[in-house]
Amino acid sequence: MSTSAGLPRRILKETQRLMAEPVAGISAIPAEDNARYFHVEITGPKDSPFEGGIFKLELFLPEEYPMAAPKVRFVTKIYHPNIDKLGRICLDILKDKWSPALQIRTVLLSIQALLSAPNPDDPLANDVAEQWKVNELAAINKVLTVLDMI
Amino acid sequence: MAAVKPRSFKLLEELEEGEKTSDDSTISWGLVRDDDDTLTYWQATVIGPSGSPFDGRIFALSITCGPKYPREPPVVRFMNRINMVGVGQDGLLDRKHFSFFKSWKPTSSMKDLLRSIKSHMNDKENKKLPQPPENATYH
Repeated sequence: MSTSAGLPRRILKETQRLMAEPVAGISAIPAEDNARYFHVEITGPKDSPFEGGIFKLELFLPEEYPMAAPKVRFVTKIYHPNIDKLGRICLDILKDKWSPALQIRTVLLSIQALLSAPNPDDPLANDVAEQWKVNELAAINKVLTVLDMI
Repeated sequence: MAAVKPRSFKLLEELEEGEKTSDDSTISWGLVRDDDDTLTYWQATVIGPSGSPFDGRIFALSITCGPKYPREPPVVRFMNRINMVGVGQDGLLDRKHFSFFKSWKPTSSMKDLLRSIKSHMNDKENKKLPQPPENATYH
């Protein structure tokens, strides 16, 4: 594959493992023309408000990876206190808590966990977080509306 | 091989840079709608440089970053009426006239483009052009 020329061994290894031993509920497939760019799908975790939804994300490994965190964004619209209108995610390991010991796999697992446990005390989308704190049931109803499930 | 930055992450970086306080307060840019998750429609302002016929005027521009951005440059249009060589009747910037469209690279940014527009405002060819009244717009 010509696109893997010059690709760091670390990225190659991670990609191979993601394909060979995928994580339950998560798929990450590199783009044909850019081995640093992944099309990701995460299924809404069981017993979470997002259960039954399939969420598309995009992930990019910058030149500095693994010294710098991957860039990740939701492509599917989602109503969540830690994800803003442009799909940007508020997650410490994508920012100041990033460590080169973390991997694509751990990042995606953390995002899956964020769907199970929204954190309205550290919001990115303030209006959503407020709604979540004041009336969780109404917030969850909104989630389902955006998912087009009710 | 350098990592090719995908369109969305490149535009999110440009958005964040536009939100920071910058060293140059005479140009600014941001999304038209803060929920435009296609990151396509942008608005920008340029303040005319002193010594030019545009001195002190505030010009609003619309910038459209299509699906092929940043491999292809955006479409740029003045919203405020301006009499400037290379700007059409409808405010559209002519790709053939402005050198930054020809020298556009996937690493170029809206900031580079706005800086370049500002410096073109000082070009000799514009010096003697009469200007429409301030605040006149195309639409």
